[in-house]
Amino acid sequence: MEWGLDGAIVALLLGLAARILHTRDLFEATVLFIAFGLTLSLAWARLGAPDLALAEAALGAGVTGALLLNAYRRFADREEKAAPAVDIGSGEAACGAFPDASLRAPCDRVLRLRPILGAVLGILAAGFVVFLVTLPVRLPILPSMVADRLAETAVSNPVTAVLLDFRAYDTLLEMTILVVAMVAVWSMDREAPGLVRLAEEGPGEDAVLEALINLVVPVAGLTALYLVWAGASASGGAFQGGALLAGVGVLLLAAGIVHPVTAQTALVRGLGVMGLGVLVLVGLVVMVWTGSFLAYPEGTAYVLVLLAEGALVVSIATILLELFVDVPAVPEKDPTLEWVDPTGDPLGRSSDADGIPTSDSEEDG
Amino acid sequence: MSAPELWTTVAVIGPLGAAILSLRGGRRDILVGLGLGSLASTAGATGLVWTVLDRGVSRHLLGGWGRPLGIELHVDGLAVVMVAMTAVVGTAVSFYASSYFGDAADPRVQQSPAARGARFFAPPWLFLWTALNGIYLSGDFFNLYVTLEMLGLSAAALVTLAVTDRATEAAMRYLLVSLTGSMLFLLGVALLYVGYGTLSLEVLGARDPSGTLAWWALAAMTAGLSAKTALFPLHGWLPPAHAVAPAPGSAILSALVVKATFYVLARLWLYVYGIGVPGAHGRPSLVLLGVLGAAAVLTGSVLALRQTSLKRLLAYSTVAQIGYLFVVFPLLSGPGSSGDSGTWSAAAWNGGVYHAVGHALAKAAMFMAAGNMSYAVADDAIESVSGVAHRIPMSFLAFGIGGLSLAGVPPSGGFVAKWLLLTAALDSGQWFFAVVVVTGGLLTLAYVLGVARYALEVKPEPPTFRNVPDRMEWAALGLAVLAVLLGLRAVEILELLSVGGFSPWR
Amino acid sequence: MSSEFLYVLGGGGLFLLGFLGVSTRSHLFWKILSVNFMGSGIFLLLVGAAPRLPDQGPDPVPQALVLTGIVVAVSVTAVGLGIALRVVARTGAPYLPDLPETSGPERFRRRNERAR
Repeated sequence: MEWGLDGAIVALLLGLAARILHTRDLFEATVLFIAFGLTLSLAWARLGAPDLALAEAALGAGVTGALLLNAYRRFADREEKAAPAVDIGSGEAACGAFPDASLRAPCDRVLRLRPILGAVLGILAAGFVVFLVTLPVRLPILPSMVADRLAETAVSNPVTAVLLDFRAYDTLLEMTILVVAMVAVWSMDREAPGLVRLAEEGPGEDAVLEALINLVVPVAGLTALYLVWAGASASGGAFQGGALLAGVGVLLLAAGIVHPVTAQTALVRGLGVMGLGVLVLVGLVVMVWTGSFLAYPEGTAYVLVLLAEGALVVSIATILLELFVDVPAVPEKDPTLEWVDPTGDPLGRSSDADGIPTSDSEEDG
Repeated sequence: MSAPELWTTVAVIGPLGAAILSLRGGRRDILVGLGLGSLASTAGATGLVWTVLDRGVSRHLLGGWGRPLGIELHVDGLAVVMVAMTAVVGTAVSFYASSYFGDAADPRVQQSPAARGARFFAPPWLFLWTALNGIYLSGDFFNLYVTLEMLGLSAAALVTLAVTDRATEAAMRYLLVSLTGSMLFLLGVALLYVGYGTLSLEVLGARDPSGTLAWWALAAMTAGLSAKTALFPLHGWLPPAHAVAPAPGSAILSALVVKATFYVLARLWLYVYGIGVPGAHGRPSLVLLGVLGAAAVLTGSVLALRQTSLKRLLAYSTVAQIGYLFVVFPLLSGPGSSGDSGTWSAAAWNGGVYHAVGHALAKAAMFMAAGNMSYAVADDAIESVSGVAHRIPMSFLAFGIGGLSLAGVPPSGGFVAKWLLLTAALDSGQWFFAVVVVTGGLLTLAYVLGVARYALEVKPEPPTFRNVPDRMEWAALGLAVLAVLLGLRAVEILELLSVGGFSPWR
Repeated sequence: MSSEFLYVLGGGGLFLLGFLGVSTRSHLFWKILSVNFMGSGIFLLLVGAAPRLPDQGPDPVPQALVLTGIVVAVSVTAVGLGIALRVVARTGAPYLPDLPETSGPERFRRRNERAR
């Protein structure tokens, strides 16, 4: 029976992935991807990993799905005669259309190579599958080391213990990646609009939206806080809770109840950086006591872990929310910006719209 | 707290703290961030050099947990040399950037809405710096994956600073290659954990990985890392990305980022898997890497000759110079090599590392000098830099010295590197690679002189020059001079490098 | 051999599908989705093949690794979508042009014709 259920889940996963990769419809791909995420969450549950199931549902299906839903419409190919890059298997006739003879040769060369490349990769893939199928025979039986030393951490959820005690340095870097993502999205100019709005100033006449908000916001908010609190001893944790809070924020923003706070304000930046900052400070302070970075002294582990998780939740929620919000290219009256120098090209030469002098517009051959 | 704990923390957490401070966004915050990052990285590097010379190989057990539960930072000669290289180049680039974005921005960035470059260069760069030091000091596989992702993301953020069509496309391609490479690397990590039950590099080395699972893991990781290091034929993403970034960004990308991914590759092959020693199985794959490297040297150099844009020329030059790093692999233990069977060829290894460090110094200098030259004439085309040699001689000198170092002209660091590589190639009877090294050097000389020719000519009607700030010129020239000094101080540096030995971790 | 092994195979298959997607689909949206598939495949492999504690489910170390991996995947997806949207906004098409050395005729011609 177990094989049947697990087999069905795996088949569903692979089938959804294959369908998503095959379809040309952006909406279908987006919706199926969310379904894929939820199925994956089910798989984690089957494998006995509830923390992962929560995380996958909140982050993998939830946040990622929301990002995709927000953006998919703008990926539609507006040009009628859009010719995608030469795909594997295109005919060599494509190269004959080249106006410049010097480019036909490389085009031909690449097109000849692609079937060979495809064959090589296909053989590798088949070999990989064979290798995987024979894997259980090769694997040694290795016990986990965590159980022995779990008592030393004062945190009874082993996954949280690994994340915030044994391998806290990885969590610090993970938090840094979130911050870098936030900065990267800020630094790009406003050409892609931000969050799609459901309403401008609150639900108004829309009863469904109003009911949704009245129901979801309090429940989700409480659940998020519970997840963080419970994460020390049961399944849960800062990441799942933070994602849920971000979801609440997205709903409020999309409904127009909360107006977007641009990432240029110091408050948002501060909240986003808070988790990372707390982890770094904790790591340095304990180092004075115990000699190693992020080595919690005897008896303080529980408190420090909870402190770290609290800060992390705030930051994770803020950053995930900011990944959705519209960021203007030119902040209005930002007093910290002293380096703006809006002079034009001092030599007055002609340049293409990119601002690059025209001699650079040629591609090399 | 002892020396390794202190100095590794300074080297990694220092730039991280600086990055956080620079997020505040004001001009002073950015300068403080750049300054603090440089200080921390330099202090950390100095401390680590002292630590390694004083007590040899050492470790920082993060969280106080030893293996197999915790993450270790591993300090040996190679790691310290790379951290020191990053500190020197990073400080120079930070110094350059503090003036570049404030006073004399690249016209492409300047005309973009707001001085985006000013506010958004420092945080990604400082996070990138953190990631670099983190990679060099890491002793844990999964930690390497996370840090590599951080590196790739920060680097992509640097490429997106220039707001042109081509910059956006280049950044997208770069991110996709980086992510695919990371996924392949992660696959290898997963396989190794599942097969050997450990995430520690040293522990895995001690277990002598071999067999089908270990092979698949290494193949996946090598494929991923080679793509991220732009090894031929997976190099296509590099020239567009490195050419469109603002000058300090290009310097960082070409000089530092590609070295980190190569470093991980070398650690894996040589220290963990132990393939570099004479008699190790897997030698044919080393030869394959070497052949791809040779192809990179030749195609990169030839394509560089054909470029009309200064920064693209330098980017293709990077592709070629990366090839040399891969040529090192087969030279480590050729069929005719002598020496005891437990260690690989010191000459080849020293040559390779020296080449990496020398290239970092020289290429960063050249990108900064190129930035100066292009700014002076407001044009990136090589033909347009006429007369810069007379107008901004310091930048021209920086470009020239850097180029001569890359070409291997004595007494530079590049010369020492090529000398060592040639010695290793001829000693082990692999004359093919010796020919490649020499040919590459000649081609490098050709494209450097090609630029110099334009810079030196005096046109009857000189174009209007813009004033290049002194700081930018000093930064470029300073690094170029260091590239030469590298050649004069080889003995001490190689002695530092030798701590940790030339044998696998067993 | 227990049924967890199916997830190992599924994970491997998912990784291969993702790799195929990244290589063959030229549309940026699908490239990003494919990278996610590669990641999910590796996570399944890791947890599926992990040693299991008696009565407690899988080893917590792979679980923690996968959790970290999921967060990293969300971050890079967000940045990837952001850059991809800018590519579409600027060039009008959700594809990356072929590199000059390997340009297909349509892309190259359009690049030269583009007025901006």
